[in-house]
Amino acid sequence: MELIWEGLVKAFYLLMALDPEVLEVTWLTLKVSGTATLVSVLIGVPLGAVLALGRFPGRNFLVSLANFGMGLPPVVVGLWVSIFLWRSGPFGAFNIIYTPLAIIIAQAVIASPIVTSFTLAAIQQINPRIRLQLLALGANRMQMLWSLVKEARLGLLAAVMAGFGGVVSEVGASMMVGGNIKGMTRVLTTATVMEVNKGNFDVAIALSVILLGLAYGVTALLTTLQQWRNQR
Amino acid sequence: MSKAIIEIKDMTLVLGGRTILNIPHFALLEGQSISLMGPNGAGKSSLMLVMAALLEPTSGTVVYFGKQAHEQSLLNLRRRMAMVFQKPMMLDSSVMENVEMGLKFRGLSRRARERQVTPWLERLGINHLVRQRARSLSGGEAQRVAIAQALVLQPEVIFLDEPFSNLDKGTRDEFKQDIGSLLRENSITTVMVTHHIREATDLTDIIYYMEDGEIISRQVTSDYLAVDEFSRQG
Repeated sequence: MELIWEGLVKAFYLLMALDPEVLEVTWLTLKVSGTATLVSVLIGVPLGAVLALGRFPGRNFLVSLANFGMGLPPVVVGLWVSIFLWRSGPFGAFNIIYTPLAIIIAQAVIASPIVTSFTLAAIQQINPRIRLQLLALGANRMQMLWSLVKEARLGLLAAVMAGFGGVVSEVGASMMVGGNIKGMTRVLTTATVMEVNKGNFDVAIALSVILLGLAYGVTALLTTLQQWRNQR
Repeated sequence: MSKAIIEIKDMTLVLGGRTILNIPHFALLEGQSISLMGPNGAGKSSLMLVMAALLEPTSGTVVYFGKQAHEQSLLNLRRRMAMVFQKPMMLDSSVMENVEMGLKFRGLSRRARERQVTPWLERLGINHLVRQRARSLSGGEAQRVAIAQALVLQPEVIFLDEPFSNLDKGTRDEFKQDIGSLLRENSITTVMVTHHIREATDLTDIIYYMEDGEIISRQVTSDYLAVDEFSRQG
């Protein structure tokens, strides 16, 4: 109990003192995971919509792939993204490995199936007669897609929350492709693991509290937006 | 003689191995208003969806405005018609956004949309609802919004699928009168599915009776009313 209390007190002091290192790690975490979530939304929402509305050969396979992808182990993603980004790998020439961009790529790979599956479910829940109604009103393919995406906006915000929650909390991929380099690729999860390895449990607890606060803050913001739209 | 707006020749519609429609010939003439009547499962709504280019027949030809469906853009074709469904499906937005949606799809500017929508909102007595969420409307209000949504498009043909079925008697009578005068004022070619003979005789000129996917009789409303009057006197 004492350890937990010390950790909480340390977290409070680190935040109150505006410790530059902690602020830097927190800001990088927010930036990297936020960007990865945005990328996954840009990939996952159109893909989920196409899977929800389209009827084409291989669709069921793609749906099962998206659902399977929701549980992708971050370490496996980290390994494969590393293989592609290593100097000897196919994209080695870009020198991306051990940069924040490498973490964004790995996290986007983790979050995209989550956003795709949530989008698919949200759009499939819309009454099919709405599609008929939109066609009867003269909607073209894009107009119909956009109208349905707007109609599924509550579910899509859940997709964003799940995607962000999935990537902000993962450590394996960030560690493998980012390398936990101080001042460059150190994020809250990798910093927490490092402090635990060093035996600095109070700092680790402090970082974990900040991570939880960050994850909750973003989710609370999105929930407020979701419920506000719902009540309008 | 009026030209055919929609002409169906040797058309069948098979869904799930079951023949839903089998129509050797049917023509909807410009300016005509017709009713499709018959028991549940007779194929009335399916025939209407085919006519509205929302359902593709399995075989046969459907000629819209003088051209076969495959000779013209389906989108442009649908944009010449409008449909009011039995249960109006409102999108989760305001009444105004719902009413002007079809015009937005056609690329009209905000000002042009407003210009076109406002008279219909006033005519249908729903201009006080414009800011309200469409899904919070009562059955009668939603039906009026659905009618406005269709009429603002200035369609050449309007399809009404049991438009009064969800309304209580008082609202239905009032709404029926309103719709009747609206359709007459604007001389819109009309196809209506209904179970009520009174609705058919009040609002349309010809009644088609359907059974098991086939049209089994055609009766001019005035003839029906004359026979009805005669039998009541007798």
